[in-house]
Amino acid sequence: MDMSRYRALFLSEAREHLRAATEHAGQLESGGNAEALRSLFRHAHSLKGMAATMGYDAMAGLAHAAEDLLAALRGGETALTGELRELLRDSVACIGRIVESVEMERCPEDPGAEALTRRLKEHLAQPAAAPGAENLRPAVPLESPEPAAGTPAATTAFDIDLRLSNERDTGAGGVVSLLSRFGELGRLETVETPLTSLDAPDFDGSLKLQLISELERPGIEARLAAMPGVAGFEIREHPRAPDPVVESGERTWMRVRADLLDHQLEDAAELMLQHSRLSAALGELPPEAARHLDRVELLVRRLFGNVVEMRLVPFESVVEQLEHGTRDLATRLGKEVELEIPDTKVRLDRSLLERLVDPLLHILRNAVDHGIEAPDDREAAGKPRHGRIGIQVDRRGDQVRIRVRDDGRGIDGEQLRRRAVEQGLMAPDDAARLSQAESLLLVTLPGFSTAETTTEVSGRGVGMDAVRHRVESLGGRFDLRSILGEGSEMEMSLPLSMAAVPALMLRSGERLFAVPIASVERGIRLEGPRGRPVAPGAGEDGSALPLIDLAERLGLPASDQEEPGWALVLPTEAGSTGLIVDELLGRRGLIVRPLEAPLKGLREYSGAALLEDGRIALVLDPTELIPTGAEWAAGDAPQDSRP
Amino acid sequence: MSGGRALLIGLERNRYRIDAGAIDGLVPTASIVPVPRAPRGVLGLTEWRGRLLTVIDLPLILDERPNGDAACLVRLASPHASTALFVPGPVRLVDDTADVRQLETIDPVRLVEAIELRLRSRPFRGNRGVA
Repeated sequence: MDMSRYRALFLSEAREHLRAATEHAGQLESGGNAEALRSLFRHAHSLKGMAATMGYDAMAGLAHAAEDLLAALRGGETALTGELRELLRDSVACIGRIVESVEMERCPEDPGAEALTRRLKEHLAQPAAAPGAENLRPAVPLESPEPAAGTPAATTAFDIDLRLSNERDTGAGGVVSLLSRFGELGRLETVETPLTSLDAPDFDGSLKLQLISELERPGIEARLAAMPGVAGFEIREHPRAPDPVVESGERTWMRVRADLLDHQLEDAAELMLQHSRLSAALGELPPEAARHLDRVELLVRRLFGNVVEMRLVPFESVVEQLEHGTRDLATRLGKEVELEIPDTKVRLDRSLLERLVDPLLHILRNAVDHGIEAPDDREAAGKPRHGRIGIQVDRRGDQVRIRVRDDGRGIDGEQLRRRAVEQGLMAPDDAARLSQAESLLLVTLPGFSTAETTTEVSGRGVGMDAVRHRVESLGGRFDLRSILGEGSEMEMSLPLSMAAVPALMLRSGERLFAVPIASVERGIRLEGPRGRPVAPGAGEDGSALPLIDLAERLGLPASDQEEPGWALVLPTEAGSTGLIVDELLGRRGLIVRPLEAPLKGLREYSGAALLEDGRIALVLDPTELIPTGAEWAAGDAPQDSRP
Repeated sequence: MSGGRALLIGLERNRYRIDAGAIDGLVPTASIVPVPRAPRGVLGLTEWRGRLLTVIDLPLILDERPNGDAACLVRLASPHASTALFVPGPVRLVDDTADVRQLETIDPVRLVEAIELRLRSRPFRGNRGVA
């Protein structure tokens, strides 16, 4: 996928977040307050997401570490010292330098990023000292030592009697919040005190726990002493039979019903939504309440992340099906084909992967049928008798890229252009203007077929529009490259999971819509009267940008807004088209839910999303909103933006 | 006329029954967001407990009219648990409808299918909304 076109969008947003982050980091340094921490956290979070989307790993890592530390600061687990203020300021500055590098089209890195990321992480691992325990420093390294390959770290079981201090957070909520900190020490095996008794008036403040940890006793003791809310404790090391599973260095696995995980994801998404609503409804809170709410936010987000993670399955799980399909067809057609999938460990959302199997099989069938030549032909062309098809799966930030490459005969763009004109899908002039890349994408036009290449197995073209549509409806992009005589490559870039899709919010009339950022090239503020808008400087080559009005496209009443509004520039196979909207409302991560029956077939939308404020936004599917070449030819063309 | 546990719905002209097994429950009406280009019979989307429900305009489908001011949403059971019927009229759950006369039975699954069919039979690209 060509990320360069998103660079401008990234830069403009990153600069905005950076400006705010720099300001808040400055406020922190000059005394600081909870509000500055909260804001800084939000900006770090946004910067992380943007960087990850673009694959700027150094920046994403640094912003992530800063975000985690800020979360700990907000939650009170870590105390805000002068050193930390400085560290946060330096980190923001470093992110600024990386953004600058992006702007200068240099490598998105900075020599200081790694050290800063490490320092942030180190501070995160240090719990805030409890009153009266200032001098206690953990006696063991704070980062859990990575077990050497093949030798699992030894674990010990500890029985812990914990006495909670009187100033502790009252009730079960406070205790649960305390217990969640044990995650840093190891695995909390049992809590003998029933949690239901915690709210009882006669609860004496003592808890019995069993902890399994890789740490040694002094390390546990030091951390318990530093834990806020803990007045005292007793520890007994517990003789423990070696755990065979741990000893063999393997994880234990459990099969879970997939539909339960689907429900879990729904619930976790709802929990996140309700939390932000609650937070908004409560407004400004007393510091202690705000701290609890922050803690809830952290846990809710972690829970959501865990569920998303649980639904990821390795690409491996569909490999056999793909191999089988390819082999079968090759045998039937008398071709020799080798399918290579070097990295099958990349993990994708289960339902996403399920929905990709059909398009992948289709692409493979196409490659075997049309791409790979018969063994004799290959030999004549100086190629090895057996053809090769490779599937490369790799992960970039929260995107996954799947490339299917064959070393067959390639696709003839010129021939496709000719066909498109013959079939009346395009005017000869329009066809002549298409670039090589655009010509290749003609195979994904609905109804396009090439008589010479259509066979009973897989007419190239028939079905390729379905492949592309499937990919785009999943929030991804489809690309096609080919060199005549050498082979073709289909590329799909998709969000790794069904989690948050970065989207641009917009308004048309009274209605709220969203469009995945991945499908927008840029936004242009229109000029001129509403009825005849002009897109200034639209086509870089001076050509006009065709415009269509979203309201008109969706059959909505014409906007009564006086200002001409905006045009979202959407790349299409026949060049860019501007979609007229009334207002752009900024970017948001949306959890897009597919429309269900009876709206399942409504292709104008890829789904809908619930917002924190209770509103519902329909998520537009831009590929379905723009007329195709055929419609242009039929006089259904968008209005012209020339004055 | 069929008996058994069912939801009785009274609209202006007629009374209707929906088999209790086909519904999941009643949901209070909340704001409904229209979906442009949706097939006739779909009122829009609404939120219920953090989930999206597609709301079907029952009176419109039945060529009926509202009956009184009360309105509620009837959430359908699986496989259409994300769909609800907009019912502007009194509803009542009864154990047996064998004695109730002049009842028209609604099959929600077929109702959803019928609307879906409208969408599928629509020529997708050529059929633009009128501005």
